[in-house]
Amino acid sequence: MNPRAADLVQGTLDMLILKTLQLEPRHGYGIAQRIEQISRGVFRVNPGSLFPAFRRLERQGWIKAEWRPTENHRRAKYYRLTERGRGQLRTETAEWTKQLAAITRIMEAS
Amino acid sequence: MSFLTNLIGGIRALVRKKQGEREMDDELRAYVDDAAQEKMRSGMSPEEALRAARVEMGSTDAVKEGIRSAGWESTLETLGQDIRYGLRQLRIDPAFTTVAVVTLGLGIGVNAAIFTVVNRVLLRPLPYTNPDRLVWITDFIPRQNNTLVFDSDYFAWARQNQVFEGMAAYGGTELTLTGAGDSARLDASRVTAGFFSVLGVAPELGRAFLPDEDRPGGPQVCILSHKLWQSRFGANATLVGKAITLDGKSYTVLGVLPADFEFVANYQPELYIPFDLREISGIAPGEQHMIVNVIARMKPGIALERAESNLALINQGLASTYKGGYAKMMAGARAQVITLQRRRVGDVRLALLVLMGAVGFVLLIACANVANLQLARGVRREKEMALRAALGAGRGRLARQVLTESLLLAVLGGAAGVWLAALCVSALRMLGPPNIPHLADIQVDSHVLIFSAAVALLTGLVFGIFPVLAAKATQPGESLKESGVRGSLTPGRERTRAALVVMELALALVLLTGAGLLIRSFVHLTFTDPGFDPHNLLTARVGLPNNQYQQPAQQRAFFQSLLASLRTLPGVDSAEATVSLPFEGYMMMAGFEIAGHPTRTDVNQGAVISIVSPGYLHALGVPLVSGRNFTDQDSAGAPKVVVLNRTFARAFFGNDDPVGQRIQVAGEDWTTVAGVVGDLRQAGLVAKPEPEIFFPYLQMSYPEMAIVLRTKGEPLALTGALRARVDNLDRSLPVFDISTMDQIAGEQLASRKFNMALLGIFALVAVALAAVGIYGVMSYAVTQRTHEIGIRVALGAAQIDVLGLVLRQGIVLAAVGISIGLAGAFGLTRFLSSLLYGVRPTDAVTFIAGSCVLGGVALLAAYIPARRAACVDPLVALRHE
Repeated sequence: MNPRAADLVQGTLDMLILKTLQLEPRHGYGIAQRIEQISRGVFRVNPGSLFPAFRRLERQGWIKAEWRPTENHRRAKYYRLTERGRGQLRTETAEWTKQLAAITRIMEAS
Repeated sequence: MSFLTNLIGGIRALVRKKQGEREMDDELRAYVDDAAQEKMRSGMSPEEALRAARVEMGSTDAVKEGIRSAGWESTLETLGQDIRYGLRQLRIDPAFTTVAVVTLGLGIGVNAAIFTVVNRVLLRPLPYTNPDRLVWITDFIPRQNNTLVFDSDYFAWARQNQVFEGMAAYGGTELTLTGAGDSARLDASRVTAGFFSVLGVAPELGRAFLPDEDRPGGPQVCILSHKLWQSRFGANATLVGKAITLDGKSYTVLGVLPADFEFVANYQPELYIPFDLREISGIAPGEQHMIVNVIARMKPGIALERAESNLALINQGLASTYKGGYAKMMAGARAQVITLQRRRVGDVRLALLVLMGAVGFVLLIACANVANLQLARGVRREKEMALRAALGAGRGRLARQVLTESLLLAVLGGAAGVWLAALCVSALRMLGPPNIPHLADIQVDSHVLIFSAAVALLTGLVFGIFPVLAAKATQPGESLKESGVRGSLTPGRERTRAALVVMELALALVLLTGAGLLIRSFVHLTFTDPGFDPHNLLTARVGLPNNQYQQPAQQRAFFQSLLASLRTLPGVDSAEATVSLPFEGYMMMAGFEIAGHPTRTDVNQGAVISIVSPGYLHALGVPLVSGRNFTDQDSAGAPKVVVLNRTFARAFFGNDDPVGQRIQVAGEDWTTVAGVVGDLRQAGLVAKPEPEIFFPYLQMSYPEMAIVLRTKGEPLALTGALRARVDNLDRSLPVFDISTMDQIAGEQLASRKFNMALLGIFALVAVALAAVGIYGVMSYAVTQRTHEIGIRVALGAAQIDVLGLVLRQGIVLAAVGISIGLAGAFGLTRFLSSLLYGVRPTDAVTFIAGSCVLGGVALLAAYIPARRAACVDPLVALRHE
C-alpha cells in the first residue's frame, strides 16, 4: 500500500482539474500526474474520484473530451477547457482566493 | 445552458450506451497503462508496475459505476434495472409472490371498498352552493332528552341572529295527487319561502317561492321534483304556471327542480309546497304550534361555536316567553348547530368510521405478514446481497433495490386490490342497508384509484422498510463466509419477526372482539320480544282526503266498511286498523292527568297515543295483562275507554291495577281504563317501550290508518285483493306502503346485519392472516433449528419434548399478542357502544371467547411446524450441515 496522500480540500477537485487544463488539453492520467506534481505529492487523486469528476464537468459543459493520439502514439481521451469552463475557473479562482485570504486572516489572528 | 448540455449529454449516454461503455473501458485501460509506464520508469519490473497500477485503480467496475452515477441518466437506468431485476426475483419465487400479492390485494381491496363508501357518503360535499356554511339547528331539551324546535323559536332565531345569512324551516308531509294517472300518495315537504335560496339551488324550470308566498292564506303553489315531473307529467315544459290537484285542491306549479337536487333529509320529497307558518312569539297552553326543522347558512367566517353562542343568547330571551307547562318543559333548552353534512350522514358516520378503522387494521396485518415474508426471504437472499455489495454496490444502492422490489409487490397488490374493491363495491351496492345514503350510486372512481395507489405505495414503504433495515445490518464478509443453505441467525431480525406476529395477533383480536360484540348485539336483538307475533301480517296504509271525509263519522264509516269487507276475503283471519304500526315510530305523544293522582314532576308525564280498531291488539297477539280489550261496543256514543300498556301501568300505578281508574289525555274528555296489555315495540326493537295509551278508533277517529291483515298463508299474495276492496269503496284512494310485518322487522335489523357481517368478514380475514403470520414465523424457526433439534433427538429427546419445545415458542407469541390485543380491545370497543344492544363494550364473554378463538387458531398454526420438528430424523438433520 502506498502511503496515504492527503485528502483534497472538500469540493476543490473540480477547480483543480479545470486549473490543470488551463494551458493545454490533457488526458486522465496526465491530469492526475499534474495535480500530484504541482502539489509536490501532497495531493494524490485516485481514479475513483477523478473519472466521475470528468463526467460531472463534461455535463456542466465546462470541459469537452476528444480522442487523440498521445506522444507515444496511442489513443487517449483528452479533456480541454471550454469557454464556459474558463469563465467558471475565473469565478472559482476569485472565490477561492477570497475565502483563502479570509481563512488565513482568521488563523493568523491572535 | 448548462442544464441543456446536461440533458443532451444524458440522453446521448442513454442512446449510445455501448459506445460510452467502450470509451470508458479504453480510458481506464489507458490510465492504468500510463500509470504502469511511469512506475517502470522508476525501476519496477513490468509485471510489478502493472499490478501496482491496477491496485491503485481499485475495482474498475466500482470506478465505472462512479462515473455512471455522476450523470442523472443513471438514476433512470438503475431504476429500470431494479425493476427488471425485481420482476425476475418475483418470478423466481412464485409462491412468495402469490402469497404476498394476495395478502396485499386483500388488505388494499377492503380498504378501497370501504373508502368508496366513505368517500361518497362522508367526504363528498353536499350538492349545494358553499355547503360548508350550511348548518342544521335544533334545541336540545334536557327534560325530554330529545331535540325539537317550535315555530316560534324559529322566528325568534331568524329575526334576531347576527351570524346567519339566511334561515329556513321545513317539515315533512304527504299529499295525494289526483288527475295525473292513478291517484298517488306522495312524499312532500313544506318549506319556507327562503328554503331554496338558503341552499343556493335554483329550479331548472320556472322559479322558486317568492318571499311572501309562505304567509298563512297565501297562494296555493308548488314546486315539483324532477322525478315527479318526468314520471307523472311527461317532462312537459309547459306545465309551469298550470294547476295540478293535491288533496283535492288546486295548486299552481311554479317550477321544477334540477334532476340532481337532493333534499336535506334522508327522504326525497316529490314535491314542495310553502310552509305557511303563522309568526307568533312565545308558547302558551292551548295555542296551535308546529314543530319544525331548521337549516341556515352561516355568514362567511363564522364558526359553529360562535353561531351556537349567538343562538344561546337568543334562547335566554325566549325562556320567559314559554307559558304554563311549556316553561317547565323547555327549561334548559340548548341550541345546537351542526353542519348539514354531519346531520345528513347521522348514525351511519360512526358505523363507517368503525369499518374504516377495521379495514385499516386488516391492512396493517397484511403489511406485517408481507414484511415477515420479506424478512424470511431476505435470509435466503443474504448471500446474493453480500455478493452484490462485494462487487461494488453501495449500501444505498442495495437498499434502493430492496425497496424497489417491495414497491413492485405493492403495485401488484394494489392492482389486485382495486379489482377486489370493484367486486366488493358491486356487492355493497346490492346488499347495503337502506339507511346509508347514496349507497346505490357508489363506484370505484378516480378518488378511489388515487386512494388505492397512495395506500399501495404507503404499504410498500411500510413493509419494505424492514428488509432494508435488515439488509443494512448484514455484514457482507460474514454472510459470504457462512456455509451451506443455512442463513445467519440474526437475533435482531428474529425479534422483529416475533414483534410483527405479536402485533398481528393483537390487531386481529381487537377486530374479533368488535365483531363478537356486534354479533352478540344482533343475537340479543333477534331474540328481543317485539310484544306481538310479526309473522303472516300484511300491512298497508290508506289515507282519506280532507274534503270528502271531513267528519269523524265519515272516516269511521269508511274504515268500518273496509275492515268488514276485508274480513270476508279468503285467507284472511282478521283485518284490523291502527294509526301507528309497530317498529315504525309513533305519530303522537300527549300529556295526561290521572284522577286522584297529583301530577308527577319527577318524570315527564306523557304517553304515546295510539288509535286502533277494537280487535287490533288481539289480532296482533299482544297479551292481555288485566281487564279487557276493546270491543265493538266501545263506540262513539258509549262511555269513553282506553287501554294502557304494561310500562304505563308500572310507571304511574306501580303495583295497583289501573283498570277502572280515570285518565284525562291532553285536556280532552275523561276516560276509564278498560284494560292493560303487554308492551308493543312501537319505536323499534332497540328503543325501550314507552308508556302508551290506546284509544278505540270508534271513539277517536283519524283520517289515515294502517290496515293490518292476519293471513293464513303468504301475506303479499293478498296485495291485489286488498287494493281491489279499497277500490270498491272509493276509486280515488291511494293504497301505499304495502309491506309485511316481517319485512318491516327485517329492515329494523338490516343496518345492524350489514355492520355485523362486514366487521365479521374483516375479523375473519384478520385472523386468517395472523394465522398465516404465526405459521410462517414458526415454520421458519423450525427450519433454522433443524440442526439443533437433530442433536437434541440424537441425545435422546422424545418427540413430545421437541413438540413442546416448539409449541412453547408459539404459545409465548400468542399469549403476548392476546394480552396486547385485549388491552387494545378494552380501549377501543367503547367507540362501538352506540352500535351495541344488550351487551356492554367490555363484555367479558366476548373478550374471553375472542381470545380463545384466536389462541386456538394460533396454536393450530404453530402446531403444524411443531409436528414437523417432532418428526425430524436426527441423521438427516445432522447431515444437513
